[in-house]
Amino acid sequence: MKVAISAKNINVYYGKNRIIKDLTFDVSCGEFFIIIGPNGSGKTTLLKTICGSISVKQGKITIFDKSIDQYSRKILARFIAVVPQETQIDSPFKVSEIVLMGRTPHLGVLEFEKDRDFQFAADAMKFTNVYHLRDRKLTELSSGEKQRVMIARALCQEPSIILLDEPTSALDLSHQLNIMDLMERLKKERDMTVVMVSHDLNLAAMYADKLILIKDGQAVSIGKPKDVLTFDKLEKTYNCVLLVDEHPAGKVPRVTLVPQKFIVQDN
Amino acid sequence: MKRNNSYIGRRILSVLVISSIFLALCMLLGIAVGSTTKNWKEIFNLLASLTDYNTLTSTIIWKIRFPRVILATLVGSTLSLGGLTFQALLRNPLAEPYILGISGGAAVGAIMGILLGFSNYPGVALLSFGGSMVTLALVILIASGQSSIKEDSLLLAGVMVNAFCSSIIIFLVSLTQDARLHSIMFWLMGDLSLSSSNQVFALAIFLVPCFISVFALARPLNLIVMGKDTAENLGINTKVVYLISLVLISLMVSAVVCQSGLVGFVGLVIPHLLRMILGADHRVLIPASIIGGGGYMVLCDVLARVLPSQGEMPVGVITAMIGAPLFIFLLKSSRA
Repeated sequence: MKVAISAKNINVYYGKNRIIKDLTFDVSCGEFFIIIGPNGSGKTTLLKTICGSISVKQGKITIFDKSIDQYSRKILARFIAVVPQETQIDSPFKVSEIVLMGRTPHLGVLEFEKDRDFQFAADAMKFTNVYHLRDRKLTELSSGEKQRVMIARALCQEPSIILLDEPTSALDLSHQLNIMDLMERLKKERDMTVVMVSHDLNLAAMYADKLILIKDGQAVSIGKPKDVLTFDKLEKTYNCVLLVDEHPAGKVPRVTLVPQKFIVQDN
Repeated sequence: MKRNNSYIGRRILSVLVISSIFLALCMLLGIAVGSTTKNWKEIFNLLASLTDYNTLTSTIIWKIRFPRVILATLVGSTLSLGGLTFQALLRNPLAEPYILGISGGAAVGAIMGILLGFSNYPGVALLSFGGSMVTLALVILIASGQSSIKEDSLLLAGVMVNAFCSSIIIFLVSLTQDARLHSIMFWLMGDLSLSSSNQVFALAIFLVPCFISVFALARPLNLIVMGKDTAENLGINTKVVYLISLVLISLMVSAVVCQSGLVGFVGLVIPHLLRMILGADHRVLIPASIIGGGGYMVLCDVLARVLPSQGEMPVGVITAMIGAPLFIFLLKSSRA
């Protein structure tokens, strides 16, 4: 299968702190790739490295067989779209205006959006089910709606890779599933490569084709959910008591937290 | 969506037409009203014919009021555009050249240039530009912590730098009895009456290309409002945009401060008002701020000339009386 993103022994620094240490992995085209790990393990940094916001100090990231620093920002934005964790703005932008911003990498500096661009925006908004909100202001929307607007903007870029930073962390259960199903559809219907940072091990287990579990910037395990989400690896990474069994409705691992008070004392 | 090719183009065009009509009316009022008020008919005849150059009225209108109205327009345009741009770049609805102390820095630079005996161009202008750049760098440096620029610390830094600049202005002007210096009042509260028509037209020739250049940055500014990372992920080279726009605005503001002194809050009132009416797209807001801000300034100047029973008051008094309450309101509502 064709490789979309490839990282070879990458090291990333913030000042003198080495955040990512010797990571090596491949993401194939059309794969749902989820990055998991404890707080401060370097998940977001890894995502920012893949989209070119942070550069690697040692090692190499290649996107479609070409080193990432050989692309200009604008060219990169034509096939990698990023959905940020949270968008806080005061400005009264309308939903349709924000989604149209996704056309920027395809337009000249002074070029106005054309019919084609409006059509793209309309299709993207329909796909993420925010078309009915198009004339509302972003500031008036709920966090689930905002997140879907941001995904619509990302789709407007016509990307082949979409990166998301904890898109479900602020959402309730049905909205979490909604976003994840949307990603699944993108993967299946448009053959898009989805790379996501997630805190939710169970969502990751249910949707990911491939997982990378990182701790302190190092890979603990890379592979299929059933190979990565094992009791040994998770306990070692998260330092807490967990129960790992199988999801009752599907053949994926299920992770359950075990609080201290549930642990039966032997006496 | 039922929107065709030129949807945004047409929006810009209609905003241009409407704001130009507003500006033209303001300018007409600015030319007609003054301490020696003429009747409207005479003024219309004069403006329409363009021939009658020898009467006292025509001298007052063409040599005094017309340059002054143009100066007011340029000052208003530049300050509103400056406010709009700073608000986008710093992602802070309260940013404005005067509040951030940029205008104050430009004034200090200009006064030093005059005291050191430099010529107006390029000496005083360059020092004034230097002053505005130094204060801008200082404010951003003080306000930026580890990562992002916090709203309150930016305003606090601006207030302090502004207070410091004002005290230096008063100090320098009081210390010397230099006839080349304007009064303390000119520097602190603004005055539009002291420029010659030559200076005004030189200013116009400098500013108009700057206006157009800032308009070319409208789309990147839209994206920067959404966040720096977002703008970069959408293909914008934010460093270049920041550099060009901060330098351009500082240049324009310092050029204006040299001719008008410190006029505050214009860059707060106009962009805020326009955002409420027109939304957030800078491709619409930039032309509207340039033209509308000009008109607003002309109106403020008319009030400054008409309200006092004798003489006139500094125009900065009017703009501050309108702007400061709005600033407090915005500060309050942004915390609600």
